[in-house]
Order: sequence, then C-alpha cells, then structure tokens
Amino acid sequence: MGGQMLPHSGGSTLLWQHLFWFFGHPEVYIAIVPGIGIVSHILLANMRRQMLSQRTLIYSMGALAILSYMVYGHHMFVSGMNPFSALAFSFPTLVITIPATIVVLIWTFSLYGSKLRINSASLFALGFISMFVSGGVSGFFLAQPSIDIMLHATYFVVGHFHLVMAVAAMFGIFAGTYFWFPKMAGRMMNEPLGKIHFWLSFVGAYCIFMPFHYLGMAGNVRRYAAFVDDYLQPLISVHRFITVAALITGFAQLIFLYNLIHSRFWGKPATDNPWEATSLEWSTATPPPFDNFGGKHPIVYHDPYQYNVQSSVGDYVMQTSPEQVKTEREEL
Amino acid sequence: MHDMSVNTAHHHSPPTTFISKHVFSLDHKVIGKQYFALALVAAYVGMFLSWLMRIHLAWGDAPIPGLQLLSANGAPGGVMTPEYYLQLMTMHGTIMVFFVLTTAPFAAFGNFFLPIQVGAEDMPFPHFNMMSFWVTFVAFIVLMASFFVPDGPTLGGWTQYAPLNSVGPVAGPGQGLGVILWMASIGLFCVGQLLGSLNFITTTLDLRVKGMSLMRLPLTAWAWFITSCHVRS
Amino acid sequence: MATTIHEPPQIDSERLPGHGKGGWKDLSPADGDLRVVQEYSPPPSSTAIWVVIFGVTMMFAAFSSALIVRKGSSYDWQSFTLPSILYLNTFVLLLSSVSLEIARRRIATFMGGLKNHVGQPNTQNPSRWLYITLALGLLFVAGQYVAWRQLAAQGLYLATNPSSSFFYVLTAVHALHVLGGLGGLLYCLRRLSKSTLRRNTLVATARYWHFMGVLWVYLIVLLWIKL
Repeated sequence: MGGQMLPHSGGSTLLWQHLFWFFGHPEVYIAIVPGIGIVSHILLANMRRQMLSQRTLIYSMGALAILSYMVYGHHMFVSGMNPFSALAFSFPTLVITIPATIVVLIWTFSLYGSKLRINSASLFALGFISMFVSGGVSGFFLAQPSIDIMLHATYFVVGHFHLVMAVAAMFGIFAGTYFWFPKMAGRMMNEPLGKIHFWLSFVGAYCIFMPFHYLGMAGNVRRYAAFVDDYLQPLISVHRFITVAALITGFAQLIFLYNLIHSRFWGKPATDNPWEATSLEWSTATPPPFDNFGGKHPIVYHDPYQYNVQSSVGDYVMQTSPEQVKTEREEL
Repeated sequence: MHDMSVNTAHHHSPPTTFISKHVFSLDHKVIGKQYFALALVAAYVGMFLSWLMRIHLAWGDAPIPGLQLLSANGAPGGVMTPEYYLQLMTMHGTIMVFFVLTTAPFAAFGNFFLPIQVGAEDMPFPHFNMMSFWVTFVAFIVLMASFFVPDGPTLGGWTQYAPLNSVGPVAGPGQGLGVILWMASIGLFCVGQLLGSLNFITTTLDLRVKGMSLMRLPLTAWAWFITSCHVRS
Repeated sequence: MATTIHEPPQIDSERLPGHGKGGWKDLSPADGDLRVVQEYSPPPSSTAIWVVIFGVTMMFAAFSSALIVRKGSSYDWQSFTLPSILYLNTFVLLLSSVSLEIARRRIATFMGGLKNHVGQPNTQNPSRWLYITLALGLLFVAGQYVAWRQLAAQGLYLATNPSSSFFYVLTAVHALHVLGGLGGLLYCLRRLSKSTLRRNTLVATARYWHFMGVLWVYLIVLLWIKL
C-alpha cells in the first residue's frame, strides 16, 4: 500500500512514481483477475465440458499475480529513471504475456468443438476474451521501451488500458450479473434485452477504443483538453466519430439498467439451478437463505466442473451430489 | 449434527429490524448486494463524466447546457475550461478504477458468492465485512464531495503525480482541498478493501467444508483469493 | 476414462481440534492415493492475524523504502538526535509483551480449571496481567506523545524537514496500530469477564501485540540509523 506523500519542498518525483506504480500495477490486476475467474466459471457452465487444464489456469492466474509486482516500471519508461531499469522492467512485462496467453489459449481451445450455449452471460464472456486479447496485443508494443518512447502518454496507451482493463472487466461484470442475477434476486433477467445490450456494447466499445490506437500513433497526446496545433486538427473528425459511438454505447448501458431494475421486480421467477451448473452456489435455494445452506453443512464430493458426464440429472453432476459418475478425466 | 473439526463462522441469529436487515447487515449476501449497488452508481457517474469529456473533445467550443450548474468556475456559460476537463478526467479515472473495477467483480460478487462456493455460512468476521462496505461507501461520498467544494476536484489524474499533487492551489483549481479529499477518499477506500480482503483470505483458507480441497474450489473462488492477496500487499 | 469412486472423506478421529499443527499441509489433500481431505483448518483468527501482520508489514516496508530513497536523494536532510524517552518507551513496550505472555498463561490455567504453577487453585483475578499489559501499552503511547512534544520544543515539526516528517509519520502510524492492539486487548478483557474468551482469540491478539513490539524495535533502529 503506497504511503501518502506529504506536501513538502524537495522530495523526489521519481520516488512517487515508483511507490505509486508498485501499488498501481497490481491494482489493475486486482481489477482483471476476478474477471478471469468469472469468465472461466461462466464458460464452463455454458460449454458443458471441462477446460483443457484447470490446474494450468489456476497456476497461470497465480503467475500473473506474482509477476505483476515486477513489471510496474513499465509505466515509467520515460520518467527519467535509469534506462537500464527500463530494460529490467521490459523483460518481465513481456514475460507476463505468457500466463495471460496461456489463459486465453486454454479458453479458446476448450471452446473449440464445444457446443456453447448462447445466452447473455456467455456472450459477454466471449466478449471479455475478445477485449482482453485486443487490449493485450497493444500492450505488447507498449512493453518495449523503444516503442514506448513514441507512444507514452498518447491515446495509444489510453486505448490499450481501456480495452484490456476497463471494457474487459466491465464485460466480466456484465457476464457475472447475467449469470448470477437469478441466484441473487430469484428472478431471471430479460434475455433479448441482454443480447441487445451485448451487441451494442461490443460493437460500440470497439468503435470507441480502436480508433484510440490510431490517434495515439498519429501523435495525439493524452490528457489534453483541446487541440490548437495544426497537426492535430485533422484528427477532430476521428474524435467526433468516437464521441458519437460513446454516446450510443452509453445509452446501451441504460438498457442494462432498465433490465436490472425491471427484472428485479417483475422478472420470471428463477429455479434453483437455471443454468444446470455444478458449483455450490447452485445447490442451495434461490435466493439463498440467511445462513446459505439452511442449517446443513454441505459435503463436497466432486471437482467443481464435472460436465459432460452421465448422471441422473443430466450431463453434469453437482459438487455436492454423492452420486458416483464416470468423470470426463481424472479428478484433480 | 455439527462436526467440531470444521470451522464455522460466527453464529449470529437472523436480523429482524429493517436497519439490521438492509442497512447495517452482517450478512455477506446483503453486503455483496450493497457493494453491487455502489458499483452501479459509481459506474454511471463515471460514464456520465466520460460523456462530458468526449463531448468536449469533439466540440470543444460548444457550450454544454447545464454544466455551469455543476461548476460555475469550471464551465462558465457551459463551456468547459481545460482545467475542468482535467478535473473531470481525474474523477472519471479514480471513480472507475477504484469504485467500479475493484468493487464490482471483487467485492460485490466475491462477498456474495465466495462463502457459498466454499460452503460456509458466512464470512468469519462479519462485523469487519460490514465495516469494509461502509468505509468504502464513505470513501465514495468523500470523493463525490470534492465536486462541490469551491475549487472543484483535483486535476492531477488518477495517478496524482508529485509534485503537481503536493504544491497546493498554485498548481491549479482543485489542488488544494480537492487533493486532500482525494487522498482521504483513497485512504479510506484502501482501509475498506483491506478489511474485505482479510475476510476473503480467511474464508478461503479456513472455512471450506468437508471435501472442499483447494483444488476443488471453483475458479472464481481462486480468482478472489488471488486478488485478495494482491490487495493485502 | 477412469472411474473415480468417491467416498466421503475419512475423518481422522485421533486429531482433536487444537492439536493439529496447521500449516500448509493441512490445506491440500493428503499425499498418496487416498483423496482424504484433512479435516483440520487453521482457526480463522489465526489466519486473519497473519494476514493483518503481513499487510502492516507491507505498509511499513513501503514507508521504509520511501525513507531510504528520500534520504539518499536529497541535499536538505537535517539529521537530529532521537529524544531519549524513546528508549524508555521501547523498554515499556517490550515489558508489555512479557506481561502479556504471563497473562496468557495465567488465563489458560484459569480457563482450563487447572491449578496454577505453585500447585494451588487459582484465586487471583486472571485478567490482572491483561490490565497490566493494557496499562503498559497506554504508557507507551503516552511516552510517544512526550517524545513528540520534546521534538516540537526543539522546533522540529511535521513539515519542518523530511527527516522530522518521517519521524512523526512512522511513529504516529505505529502508535495508531498499537492503539488498535489495545482495542484488541480490551475485547479480550470483555470476553474474559463474561468467560467467553476463546483461546484462539487470545493467541491472535498476543501475536499481534508481539508483532507491534518487534515492529517498534525495527522502527527505532531504522530511525536511529537514518535520522
């Protein structure tokens, strides 16, 4: 946790940056790691089969977490710190793409050949993957000090982090909401509205943030309020396009708000396990009683994602079910 | 039949009054929903700020009707000053990163679902959990308050680089009281999240039911656990 | 595909709660073929207090690194001698750790209904030594306040110089956390008076309190070297 700096003459701006980013970089991973978990969880329930390697997913998440402490200097390539440290930070930054890529590849190859159930939650989960990859790819460029010199503090950076963190995490939140709303509120959300929300947000987000990369490469500096230079004036039309896209995408979020509120009071009542999922939250009542399990302590017999098996209830077996089934692969 | 060797959370009887059920609830599910509501409000505020920024970037000289009501200094006649743009931008970033992106996937869903996914009745320290929400809530109020102080909120970006953040009002509007409020808000926010993550880690490690080994945890539980360790450091 | 047959995990009936060692090997399935899940998890208060200690350590690590870098990179660092009362305060704090340990043992004897160390039924008030610890803790905080007044009398205030800033901030943050520890002691006292104090709670509180002592020793050494 960064300490608070006292107002004082003297002091070191570089010190602030080191302290801030040592906190700041893990902070953004705090924003994205739950999203990774939520998306995996939702995809598993909708794919109806297991991930290629769940253990690897867990280890990759852990690796992301650990490496995130070593990369913070990539926010400071042009801050005036020792250029050799820039190299020292660039290397782990490039390395951290490896667990992130592994996660994406596991998702992609697990999805391949599966019959993914399409609903709002799984659409947003897929959208998360898309945004995460798009944003992640632009990060690859920023990780290299030589390129970053040109792109630091331009709209390229803004485009990168909005895609990889803001939009992806928001999609994770939306996915989680559509998935878990039945359990939290006891009612289903409106599915057609959810799909409209998804498509507008998905297309809209790309319309907003993809041009940011172009703007950044064209030299548009970030955190500037207006453009007086001649060479930035031609970019105004791009900005206008983005603004229109932003307003439309913004309105799409109001659809979501309406859906939330309407479903809360007038949505179709939900069953205990509308998605036929296996983890413990679906084994209790909807919404869960005060002490979660109605006075009993559940006993867990299975791994969390036993889909694609044959059991008495269908193609899945819940974690708390004592039923013994032939599982898809050796349990962890 | 109660197995003595399985850890249980504090037993507290179901709440009866409106206040204890919906306001100062110890139930992790209610706290999760409260966080969700907070994140929702924060998200829409942040989105509104982004609209203002985008409109200004696209049509910089056009007045935005009503903006002078929010800040007479920052937007005389509805036309945004560059300083006010920076103030809006700072608040957009701060609100979104802290009060939406950290709160919703981690605190809101995590609080609601982690104990259930682990098989517990509640978190081990429900009072800390409740405090964590209310501290975060107060942090949000403090941050919002900076909109309404005379000079407006801070304009240094969510990164608040020194020395811009430390030299005071000579750096621009909002660098006096605005910075102090920002720092106070983020300090409170950090305290709230520390309390919350304490609960998460303890729940994951100690309150799993019979049969729930670490490898049998759903991936979301893993994600929340890893994130909580991040928050601690 | 293998058919995995799952029986409900076996409970090792020889392991009573409180006698397991805890630690990592209790958190994952036992090695070997049997998928037996250990029944014993560490008590929540124990995990929680380690988490808290870790968090506080991280914060003071950040402060320490800020102090070291700030001193190393500046030309305006004004060193000063630490007020001598600080050493007395250190002694008081360490003494309070000792008294807390005595308290813990007395309370354990009392709660267990056993005879005390001289073989007689315990007639002393078991919370006496907790009160002593509390008093010593308060004395420490008071002593810190005196130290601040002494510095102020020398003309060194919070914003006078980076060195004095760090001194005030570090000692104040530590004192704040000590006050938190005092709150924990009060909680234990209240529970003890109602005879509902759990052993784990007291152990966790004691652990935190000792950590405060260790942290203070670290801080005073750091300040002495750097200031």
